[in-house]
Amino acid sequence: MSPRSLRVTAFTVGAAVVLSGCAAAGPVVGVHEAPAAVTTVAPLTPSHARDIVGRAFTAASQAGSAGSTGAAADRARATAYTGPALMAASARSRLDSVQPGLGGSSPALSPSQPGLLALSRGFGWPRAMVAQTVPSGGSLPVLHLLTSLDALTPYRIMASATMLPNSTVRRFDPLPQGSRLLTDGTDLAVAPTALATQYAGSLSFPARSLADPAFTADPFAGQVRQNATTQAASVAVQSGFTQRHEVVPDSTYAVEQAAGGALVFSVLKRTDTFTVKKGQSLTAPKEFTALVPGRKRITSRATMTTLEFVVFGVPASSGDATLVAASEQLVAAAGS
Amino acid sequence: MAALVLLVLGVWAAIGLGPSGRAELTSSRSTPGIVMVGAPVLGRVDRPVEVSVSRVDAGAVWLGVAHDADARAAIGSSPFLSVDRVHYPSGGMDAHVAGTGSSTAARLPGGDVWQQTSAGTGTARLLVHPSDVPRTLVVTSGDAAGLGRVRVTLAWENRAWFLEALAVAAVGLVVAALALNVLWRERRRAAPTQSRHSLTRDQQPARDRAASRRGSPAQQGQRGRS
Repeated sequence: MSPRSLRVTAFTVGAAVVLSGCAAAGPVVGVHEAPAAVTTVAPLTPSHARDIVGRAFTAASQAGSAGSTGAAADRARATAYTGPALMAASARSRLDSVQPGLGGSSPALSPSQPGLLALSRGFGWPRAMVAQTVPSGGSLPVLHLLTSLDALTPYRIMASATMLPNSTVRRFDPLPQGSRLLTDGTDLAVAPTALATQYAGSLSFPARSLADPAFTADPFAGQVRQNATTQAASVAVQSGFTQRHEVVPDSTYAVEQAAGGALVFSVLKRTDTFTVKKGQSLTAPKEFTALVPGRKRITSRATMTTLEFVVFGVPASSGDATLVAASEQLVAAAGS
Repeated sequence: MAALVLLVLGVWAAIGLGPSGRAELTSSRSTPGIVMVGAPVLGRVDRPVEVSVSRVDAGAVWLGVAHDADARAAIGSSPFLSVDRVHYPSGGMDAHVAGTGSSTAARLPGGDVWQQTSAGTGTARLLVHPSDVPRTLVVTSGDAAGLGRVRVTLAWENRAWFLEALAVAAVGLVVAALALNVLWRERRRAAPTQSRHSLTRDQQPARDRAASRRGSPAQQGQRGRS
């Protein structure tokens, strides 16, 4: 190779090195375009979600602990609960303040360590989580729905219901992947809101016949109907008795399960109405007096409002929904 | 010329970055209550970025990092200062004020969208690690009070950058040396050729003068007549 050829070659190689160095500067120093958004995953990491669930249940435990009353307890309840569950927890606290145990055993106040079952997928709102607790003493597990309505509102427990004996919950997609919210009824045998509305109608008293229900018979509904019948019979001389169930607006959530179908949470409001007959009166129960202080006798009309937290397993394409968990809590009363 | 540019740039960048390889950009701005450092800034370098925000009035500072969509949802229509782009090595930050609605500044810390948070009085810092999802950092006072004027500092650190700057300088140096060598050799080769055409007869070497004396008869004849 002649000296001239050598110089040309050296210059070419040098220029190539310099130019390729300039072109590769971005990758070499680690500068690149910002990553693109991925919306088909859970919006929270599982560890972050577990921290949130832990915070909610710690606050619930503080609110429900003995002697926890006043502003501190109110703050703890507001940290733990939202919507129907907050209403239920507040009412329970109020009932317990009159007489310990009067408010019943709300499943939302279960002190055991919660397990996270599902996270809603994507970055839309509202968002949801499904958690489960197993109360100490071998009681039945409790399913919880935690919701966050927008980016400024933290997750809180919106509904809690104790699982029925022999019921099961099919597994969800992995937590990092998240589970779709199918509240609009997509890919389900029956739309969740329609199911809840139909189920609420089936519980009314006096009973109405329901053709081709979208759900199977369950012990909770049987118990509610039996209680209504017993109640009506016990006050038949003094008053009329009716019971109406309606779906609490925006309380229905459907979380898709891995093999199809969904776990559907919904909250029903039950209104027991006593219409006292002329010249008659009713002795108000303790629960009523606790919520309406000073009112021990009912001479005209009284209502007692109870929230019913129900959870269904809904199949994907065909078949009936099955109630897997249910709990109730008296939340309000009124009468004269 | 390109080699000299590489040499100067490499040396200058190495001095600017220092042995730790720290690139730091600072800007002081008045804010409408919220500052947003977007994903195009935080996610552009695959190294952790240290964000430091100081308030001129030494008030409370709160920082939160969330998925880009969540951060924007939390801010909503609130007025905010958006840091859209940074320039290195000039150190400039492109920013604009957006949003005309009521401010959510006081409620921002209450949400569960924040993957990392930091709070302080006067100053707060947060180290944001690279992620495969776009993330946005939000700064606010964390209370009803405004944020006022703040000094925002973004710093990336990578020792390799210092070494790379040195490597660039070294490449520039080598190529420049090669180029100078080529030029020098060309100049040396050109010098004798040029001298054969420009030197006076008396300045020519004796060997050349002898050759001249053995010149053509015409030349000899001319010399004889002179």
